Amino acid sequence: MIQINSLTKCFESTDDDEIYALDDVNFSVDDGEFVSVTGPSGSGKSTLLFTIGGLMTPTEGEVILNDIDIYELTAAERARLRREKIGFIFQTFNLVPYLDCIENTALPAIMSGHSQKDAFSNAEKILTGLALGHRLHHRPMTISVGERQRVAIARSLINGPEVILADEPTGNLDPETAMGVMDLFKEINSEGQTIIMVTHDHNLAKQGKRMIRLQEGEIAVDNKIAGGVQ
Amino acid sequence: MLLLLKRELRHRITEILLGALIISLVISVVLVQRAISKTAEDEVNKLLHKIGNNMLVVPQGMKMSDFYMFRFGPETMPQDYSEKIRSSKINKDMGTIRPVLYGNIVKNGTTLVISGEDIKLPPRFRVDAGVTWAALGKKAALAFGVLKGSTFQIKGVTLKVIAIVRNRSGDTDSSIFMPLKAAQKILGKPGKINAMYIGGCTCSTDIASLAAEVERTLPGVRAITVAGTVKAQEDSILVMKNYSTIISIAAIILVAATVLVMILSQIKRYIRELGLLIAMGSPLKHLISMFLIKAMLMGGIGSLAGFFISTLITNRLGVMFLQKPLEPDYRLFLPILGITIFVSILGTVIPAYRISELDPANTLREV
Repeated sequence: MIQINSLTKCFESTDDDEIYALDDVNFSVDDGEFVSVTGPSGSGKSTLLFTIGGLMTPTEGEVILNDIDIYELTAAERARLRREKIGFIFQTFNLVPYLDCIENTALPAIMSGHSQKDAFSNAEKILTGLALGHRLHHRPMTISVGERQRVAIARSLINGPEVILADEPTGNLDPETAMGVMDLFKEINSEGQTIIMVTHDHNLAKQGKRMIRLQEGEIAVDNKIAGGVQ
Repeated sequence: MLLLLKRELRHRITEILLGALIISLVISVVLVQRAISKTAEDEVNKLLHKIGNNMLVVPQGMKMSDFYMFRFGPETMPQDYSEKIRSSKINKDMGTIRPVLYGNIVKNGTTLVISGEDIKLPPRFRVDAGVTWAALGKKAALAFGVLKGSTFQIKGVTLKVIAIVRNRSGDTDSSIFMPLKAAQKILGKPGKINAMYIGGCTCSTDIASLAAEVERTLPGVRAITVAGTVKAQEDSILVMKNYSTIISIAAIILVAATVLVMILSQIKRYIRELGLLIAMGSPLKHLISMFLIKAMLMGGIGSLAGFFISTLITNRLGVMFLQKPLEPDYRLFLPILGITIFVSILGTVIPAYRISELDPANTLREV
């Protein structure tokens, strides 16, 4: 379970003004939820995601993951938490260009101390499950953007994380491929995986079980979605 | 992380080799400069050893740099100058006087040095009447294809090899020692010499005044005292040593700057990958270690290649300018390797700090 308490993130602008990207945000995410965070540009969606992921220290408030306030941890402990409990998916995929698909997927497992053999074997299973069995030894630049995003999803799943944080995961995809990726998210979520996804696309946001709409750093709407993921 | 390191190295091998090449060139400059400086110092020491407190008298037009490199021109002086000194008033201040005629000949592409001097040979080296003795350095013997006891001819003069001269410094390898008269005949300079060593100038007057007196007594000569020569050469060596220190310091700065620039440029170009790795929870020490290993590889390969390049360059330079191959001071190998790797590590301090300060959220949000 993730508990967000009074989360505030303030940036200083060049003219010494303070810009509140997040302003006293409170909500919790239960295990197995699929939360879509939506809102206009600059509403604080990505800031919220990075803060939940332990990548951006909040100005105030706390992010509690399984009873641990992640910003009470040291940087090294937080890195370990990211490695083992959180899977990240980005709009631009962020695959390592000189690693092939299986190596990209296996990387977090190897970083967590798994043997290369075990990590590769697990990566192969996940990639095959995502219909990428024929792309194991292809480099990112040699596969389609949809396939790249599926490799990024496979990478986020390899360590069996407690939550997947996806930042505009369909932002670089055509509508058809985007729907394919959403179907994949729904399938992963149906197996009990918690997902928090940031998207500016209202239609895609409705694919989750719950939608949080941010407006100028504050929660404007927090609704369960009828007919969301079953 | 070994997988990542291996793939990184393979992916960035060109950059690492480019860095290593720059470092190797810097190191080879240092080594070549040091080899030349050391050779010059050795030459002065040899000179000191050879003529000690004595005096060298040469024809006025002779270039001393050529003389010390065993390159002899047409300048000569009369052989009877030695007698003229003997019969002069300054004779009381003189010990031995050795008139010598030097000259160069080429045999089978090898430039050799003829050294004509009347030497009283020990009985075991005596040769029959009518035969001229000769003692050859290794290279000279090889050029003529002769051994001890062989006879051979140069320009109609028949010579018998009484000894093959072996000298650790290699100075006499190209020399053919023979009586003065034979040398004069071979070099076509009858009654001439081009050097006169005056030994034992332990006179009451100072050596500079005595040299001036010699120059007054023998027209057209230059009397070189060891003090003057060594002083001039020592000054040059001191300048070279100062340059050497400056070059070494500059080299250290260059090596560090090369590593710094290469690693910083890698960080700049691959900042998203670094941000990603940090986001995925890669420990900072692993990321910094990867850059350290790359820097150390750059430094290590650079210093090895630097030694290789400097060996080639010093060899060529030695042959071109000194007629003998020089080599870098191999005792510097381990210190230079150590210093280069250490400096390479120092060069990653700023990049390591930048990595530790990297904000993955910012790097990953930049599209």
